[in-house]
Amino acid sequence: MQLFTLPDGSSPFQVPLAADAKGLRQEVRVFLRESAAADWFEPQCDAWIAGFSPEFSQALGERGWLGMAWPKKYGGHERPSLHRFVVSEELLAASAPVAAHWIADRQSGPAILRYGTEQQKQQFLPAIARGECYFGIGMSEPDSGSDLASIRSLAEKVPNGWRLNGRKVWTSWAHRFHYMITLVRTAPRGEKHHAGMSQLIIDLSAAGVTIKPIISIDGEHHFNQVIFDGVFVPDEMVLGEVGNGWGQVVGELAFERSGPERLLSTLPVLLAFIQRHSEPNAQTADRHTHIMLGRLTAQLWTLRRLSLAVAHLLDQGDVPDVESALVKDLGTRYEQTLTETIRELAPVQPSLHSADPLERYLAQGLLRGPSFTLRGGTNEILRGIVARRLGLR
Amino acid sequence: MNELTLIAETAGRLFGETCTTAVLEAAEQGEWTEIVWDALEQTGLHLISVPEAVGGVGGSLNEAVTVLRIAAQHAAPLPLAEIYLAGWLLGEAGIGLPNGRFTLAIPRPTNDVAFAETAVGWQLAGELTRIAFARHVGFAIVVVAGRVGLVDLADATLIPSQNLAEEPRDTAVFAQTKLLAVSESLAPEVISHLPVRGALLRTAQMVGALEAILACSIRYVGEREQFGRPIAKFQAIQQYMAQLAGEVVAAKAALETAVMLVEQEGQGAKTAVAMAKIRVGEAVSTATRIAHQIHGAMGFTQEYPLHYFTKRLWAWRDEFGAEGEWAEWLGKEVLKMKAQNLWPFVVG
Repeated sequence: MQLFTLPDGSSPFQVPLAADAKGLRQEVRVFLRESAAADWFEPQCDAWIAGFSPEFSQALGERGWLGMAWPKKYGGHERPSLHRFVVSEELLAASAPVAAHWIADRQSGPAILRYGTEQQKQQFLPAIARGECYFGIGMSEPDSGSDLASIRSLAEKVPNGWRLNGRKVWTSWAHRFHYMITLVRTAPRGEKHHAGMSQLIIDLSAAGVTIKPIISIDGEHHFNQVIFDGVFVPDEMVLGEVGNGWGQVVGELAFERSGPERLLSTLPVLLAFIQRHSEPNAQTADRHTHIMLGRLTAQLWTLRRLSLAVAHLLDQGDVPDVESALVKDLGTRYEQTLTETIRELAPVQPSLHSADPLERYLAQGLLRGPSFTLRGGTNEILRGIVARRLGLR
Repeated sequence: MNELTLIAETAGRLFGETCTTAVLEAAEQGEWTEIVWDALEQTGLHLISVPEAVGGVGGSLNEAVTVLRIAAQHAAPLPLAEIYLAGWLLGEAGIGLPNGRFTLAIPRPTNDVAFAETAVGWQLAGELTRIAFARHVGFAIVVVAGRVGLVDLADATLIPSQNLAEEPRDTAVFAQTKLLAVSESLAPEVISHLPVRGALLRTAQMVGALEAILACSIRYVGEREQFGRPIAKFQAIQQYMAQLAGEVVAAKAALETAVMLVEQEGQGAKTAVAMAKIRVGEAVSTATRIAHQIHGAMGFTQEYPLHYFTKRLWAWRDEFGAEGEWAEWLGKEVLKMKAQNLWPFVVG
């Protein structure tokens, strides 16, 4: 089974972290300590989806921590994927509010870098790297979730561009984003299931775009429905080749799944529990508590090593789509298990409105938990991807 | 071709050729399978990571772990982990390897055993239990109260016993038994590293056996047909197989990271080994359950070779510290930290 092997056959779990990455990690930690001290943000579970802060994103941009791996001529910093990984995981572990730029930096920018015209690269990449230009994901539709290729949004050719009708759903933060890379049909559905689709860069402020909120189980608004009613999309906003949408979206999904955010969403719960036990009047923990904490820590450590290995594979020019799928399956289930385990250990009443951080984070973990194994590809679909690599499909 | 690849290929060939199901069955019946030992001895791979100064061939821990993992992929009926561990101890103690097959005996908490310096030299008295393959080897390296000693097992009374996988785990009773060699008191950090290194080597064996049950399962679901097609085509099976692969990959990640950290930090890598032993132990629980479920009734038989691996996994999971023991220790360490130090601890 050739999973998690570097091109030279060596182990991606035994690559030493270069000295410059350690220095970078310290810089990020100092910045986060200063931000926390200045009360810039309130930690919460799932902050990478829930925490939207243009100020924070711009501050990261100023420090050169967005677009890290992109060419300098497009506003990037030409640093290895590993450096982006280090910055990302420190931000995630601190529950920093990165939602504004997260998608743009993680996948939209790389998609434009790979498939975009020179004009598109110049128009979007530097602004994303400054933390000023935000992108959403236009893939799912009300009738097309796991079966993404069944989408119905249709763009018809008109002079100088396309006329788009249809709708996209989920589209987190579309109501505050600027653009959305959107998968649409540009040819009628034919015999080939994956043919006839294209990606368009939609200006979310364009005429004919209506954004309606979808409120989540926890009362929060980040999901939306985005409706296209005769939206004109100029030819210059086609991303890549007309008809190549499926191949491009698969590439974008690989970027989406390859980061460290799929194991840290509920870390605040664990940290709050430990904090409680280090307080002066804390109860002495029993054997069961010690065992469960030890197991949670061992699982977290292992998951992080897996995620780091994905970054090493990326740096070697690999496309670790199967490895990413596997880590996302393990990591998201861990995120849910962590919440359930701490809930069992801590005699509290979880509530979103509690002044006590542990109660608040547990409530966030419980309410947001079902989404962890659904978003970015359900775990069942991801396991199908792994099964294919095992030769079973 | 690099050194590690060469070692891996040699080990794969030697164990692949000798560890047939007939050999594994004979081993379960209590026979000593000389054919496997002979093949190993000819390659010298049992002496990897043992310092040349005491008769080993040198080489890294990573190389020894590679051989051990491959041996476990073939369920090799040998005390190879004990040989590597004893070899390491002999290196620390400055005692030469004995002239013949040997194993390692570490006192269990309930064992009543002691070294004594007498007028006629150092002697060993008492009882040591769960000694791997004691009945099949000539010598035991024994660790008692911080000293390493070498004893001829012909001078002991052996009472056979087995672990869950029917691997020999014998009791040896000593009565004023002469020690062939005995060391000075070893440094405390060496003694405290012994259970850590042992846990790491057992973890390597578990990873090898996990890899074997994954390969076995992939083969089986491709061949076994029901309802007119290989069962691999059913989504339920595909979901299980992906979970199984996930556990094996997680186990690999934990082991390989821990090996790197022990090589870098030596005694300082106790937490990494603890976390690896815990995570791989957990992987065993999930992976063996899935492997047996996928194999149906066939996997439940003596005849089909799955059990050689799943029994070893269940047995090894509880040796050198079960997950609960290591997790309890780790959990206490975690609670000594302030919350803001957990993440830096995980990153290392």
